[in-house]
Amino acid sequence: MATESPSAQEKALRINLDSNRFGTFAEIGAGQEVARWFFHAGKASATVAKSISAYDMSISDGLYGPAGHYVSRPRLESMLDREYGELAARLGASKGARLFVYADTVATQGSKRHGSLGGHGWVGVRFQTETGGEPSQIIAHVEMLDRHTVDQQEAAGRAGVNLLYGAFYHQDDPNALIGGLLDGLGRERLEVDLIKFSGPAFSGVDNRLMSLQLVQQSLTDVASFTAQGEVVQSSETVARKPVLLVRGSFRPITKVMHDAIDGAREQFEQAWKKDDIAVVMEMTLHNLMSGERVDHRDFLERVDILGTLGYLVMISNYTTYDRVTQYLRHYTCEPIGIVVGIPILRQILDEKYYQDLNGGLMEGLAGCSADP
Amino acid sequence: MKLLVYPTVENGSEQPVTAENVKVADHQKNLYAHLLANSLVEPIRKYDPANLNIRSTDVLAKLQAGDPAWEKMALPEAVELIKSKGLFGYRAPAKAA
Repeated sequence: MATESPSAQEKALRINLDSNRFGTFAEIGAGQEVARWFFHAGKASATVAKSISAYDMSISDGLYGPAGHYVSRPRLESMLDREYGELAARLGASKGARLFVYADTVATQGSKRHGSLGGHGWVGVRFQTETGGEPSQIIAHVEMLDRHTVDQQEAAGRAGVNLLYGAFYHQDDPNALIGGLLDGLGRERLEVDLIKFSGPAFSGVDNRLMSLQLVQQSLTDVASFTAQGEVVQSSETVARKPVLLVRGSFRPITKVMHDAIDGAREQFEQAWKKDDIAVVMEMTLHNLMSGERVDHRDFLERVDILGTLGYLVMISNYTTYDRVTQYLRHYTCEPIGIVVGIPILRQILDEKYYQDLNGGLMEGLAGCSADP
Repeated sequence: MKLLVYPTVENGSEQPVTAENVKVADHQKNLYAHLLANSLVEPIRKYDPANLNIRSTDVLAKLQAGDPAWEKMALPEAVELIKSKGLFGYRAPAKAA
């Protein structure tokens, strides 16, 4: 039987009581919700070196440098850089503890996916696994799905505690670490659609497999990475761009697919007078299943080839095309083209394909006429 | 959104099946004609007819069986990677005695 996960309070207390941990909390946008758990749990003085919330933009720019977007990966990274640099310079190994910085930049009610009904943010931890050693790092992008701001703030707080706890006590088991991110929350309150592990503690971790884990463990419906294997969020790849989506198993990708993409791209450019098209190779979880499980080696073989050919890969948990277009619509108003073969066209016209939609085939195709 | 449809050949026929000549159910003919007329479904017009017979399941079976015919069905970069790393259970063709 699975052991019940500790509560956020218990997690924070364990970290506070762990004499090996000492660090900074820097939070922008949803209050100091993560640090608050550590102050409430007791014994915070043994863990918290500093807690800061640079809420004002000028103050934030003064500390972390100018930002194009405040809720962005570059902002999170500049926060981690600055705070970790300060911590290491001031304390070095003098505390005898392993240093860490937790940082987040969060917007309640600011999600592209959920409009005014959800928030999102970038969260991260940079931490030593040995006193005085090189730090490792985990960053993630989260969507807070609660309807009310105060609940989104609370969710951000729990997510941060879960991330710290996972980083400290599940670093040898990234799959378990990922599973623990929703402790005390559940998918109805929080989505995690990007996670990136780096540094010496995670030298054996392939972040493409971690993206797959996010979809497999249902922390998100979509996770993406570039041809270089860099995990990316859709706001970083398809935002405001025309999109050509190609769904397949890619086992292996053949000349047919390239020919189709080249032809489709040319027509797309002529029809819409657009260049800078994002070509997205989508693999559904269903495409990847082999019986009850996903063969990770087989998955990596497929994406190795796609990467060599320069393609962006998106893993999704969507079965029908209408759901993937809905998803992409959150990020772009530009045209979306779906490249298919004749067998898939027949499937799309098959009423059975839409049995879960109240409006059946017409609802499934509705996106066609509603979009540009 | 638009569907861009790549043609295929079926049942040994040389005439490609395209988005324009594909058979649809009688009760969907008007709907489908509307989708085509408004370019919501569009045939991909520029393609290499030599590719229309390629099926990825066939490529996989051949590369696992040591039949080098598959190498003409994938891009050179993919072929090189599959062969050099032995991906998907690749088997080198048997050498003639």
